[in-house]
Amino acid sequence: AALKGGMRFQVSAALREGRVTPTELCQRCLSRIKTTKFLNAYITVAEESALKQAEESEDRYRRGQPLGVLDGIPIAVKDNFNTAGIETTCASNMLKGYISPYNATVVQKLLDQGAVLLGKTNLDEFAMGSGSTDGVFGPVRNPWSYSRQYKERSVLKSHSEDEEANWVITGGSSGGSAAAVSSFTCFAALGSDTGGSTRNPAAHCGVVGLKPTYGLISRHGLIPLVNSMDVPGILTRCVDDAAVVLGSLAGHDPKDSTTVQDNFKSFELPNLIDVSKLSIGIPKEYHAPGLSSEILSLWTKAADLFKNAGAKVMEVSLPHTRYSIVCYHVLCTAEVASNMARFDGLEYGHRSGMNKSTEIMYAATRREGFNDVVRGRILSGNYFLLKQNYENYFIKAQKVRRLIANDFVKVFGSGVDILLTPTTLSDAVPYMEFIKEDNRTRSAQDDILTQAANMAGLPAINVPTALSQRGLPVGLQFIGRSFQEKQLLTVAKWFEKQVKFPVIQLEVKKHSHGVSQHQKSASFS
Amino acid sequence: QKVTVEVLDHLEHLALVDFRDSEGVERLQKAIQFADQLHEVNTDGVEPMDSVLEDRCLYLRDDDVTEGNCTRELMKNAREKIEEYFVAPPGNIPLPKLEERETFLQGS
Repeated sequence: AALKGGMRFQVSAALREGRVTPTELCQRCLSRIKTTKFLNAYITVAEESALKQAEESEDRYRRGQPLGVLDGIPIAVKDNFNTAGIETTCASNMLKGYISPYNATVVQKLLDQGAVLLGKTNLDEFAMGSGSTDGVFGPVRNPWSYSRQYKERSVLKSHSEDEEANWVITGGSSGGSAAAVSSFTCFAALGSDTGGSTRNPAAHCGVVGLKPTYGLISRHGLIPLVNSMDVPGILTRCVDDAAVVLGSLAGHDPKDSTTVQDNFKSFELPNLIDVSKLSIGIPKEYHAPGLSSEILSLWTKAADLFKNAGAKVMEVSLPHTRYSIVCYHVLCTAEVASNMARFDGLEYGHRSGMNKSTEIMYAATRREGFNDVVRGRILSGNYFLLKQNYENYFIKAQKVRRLIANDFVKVFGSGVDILLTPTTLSDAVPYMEFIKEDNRTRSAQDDILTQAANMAGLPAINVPTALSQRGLPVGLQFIGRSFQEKQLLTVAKWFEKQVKFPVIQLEVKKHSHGVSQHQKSASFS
Repeated sequence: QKVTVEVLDHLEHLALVDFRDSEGVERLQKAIQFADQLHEVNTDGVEPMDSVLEDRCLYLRDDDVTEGNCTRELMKNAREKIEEYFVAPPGNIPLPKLEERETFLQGS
């Protein structure tokens, strides 16, 4: 039961009251990582250091001096965050064997609060992708593929054979983190969000995925993809937990000049929430082509929920929504072309044996180290940045970005407090189907509902809503005003309470030791 | 409009990343086509946006050294080094020209 509950009220209380110790909790999570290895959610498991951190936490609890709610809580971190002494690969050959000499600020903050770092999670190479399928360590499997809910609703001929063919993706690029939280191997995980990379897998894996306002949380130590849009993302099993993690991470960092200097006050979400004074906007452009009728129906039901609770619900328009993906495509590849230039083999990472000249060595290193997706984006980015194309593509995209951001300013300025939209177009597709289209096509399709929030720098959150007909999670997204995370999370918490999303009934294979305990905790509701 | 071999060659030099095969070139063509949709949007009188934080001042801090002395740590990750130097192959030698190097673009 300890593995199931949220941090805020259950596990933390259990630790404080001594019903479970940090080392026991850590052991259980490590054991669970082993029994769910087939999900391929983790690239590196830092067993020794995690146990050591757990012991130190236990010591503090024994002395009655825990550091806070997060003390002793096992967490996982996406493998594009630097973690001192632990390999950081970005799921790329370019960084295999790279041992970070420092902790990203967000990692340091969690460790300073006593959190126990279990390991680094899998992702698409350099966070480029929407499936967590394109990393060098292989794809991540959605834990729901192995849930009783999914299995019951899928037409399987022979059990084991089709299980292999039927497993569904986690979404991406923070799929490993989402899967890690969803399968109970940790209580919270860090992801990153540039175009939806935290919210998309959160929706597919049935967990809460928060994208904070740009500038609220430090990016120092997060290996950059798009400097003007990247943010660290938070994945948890409930909204209250996301608020706790946000509280420990938010705030100005002198090491990241893009963090604002405003005073951030961490907050607790109220238990009794009144939404009757709220104004909820439903952007009509988010009824995008390809949106499944199931999700459309859930979206409508959600709007009704708010209406019935007395909130003002109205249709609004964000006219430039459909250009967001194109705009992102140009700005992202342009920034990637610049950010990936640092990988040349000289100071860290992979280095080719070809060494006739610096340029040959650089070219060969990058040819050997990057996959097709990364190389493709670098080349596209360089194309858009060529002198003859700069004005027509890069500057043009920056202008369209302003139009997209202004759409939101207008809507929020007209009295709307929160926007309610779907997070994804459909539930998770089977891996075999996903790989039929290439990465860019998939990203363009899958990021359509999440990308605009990154353009405008706004906070957004995925809240697991219901199971689809196939027995897979579907989430809805709330987008809030800049730096109004408290309001955003309060609304999200209210919604979470209304929909009562079901607990995953994960069926872990029977050859693992201690399986009955895990199965019990998995299906305990 | 197809991208010319000269431009492709130029990109390989700038990016120090190669197209590897015709699929790579196709990928670029599709990316350009996709990006062309931007031209449907009227942006007359619109200023380009660099950052969503453009209304705030970038702040400065005092010019005081607060950290450093981590040479040993940083050198650990380099493959080739001598004392406190990173070792690079000879520079100022441009990549061989299109005709002289092994690249799939030669065939185009």
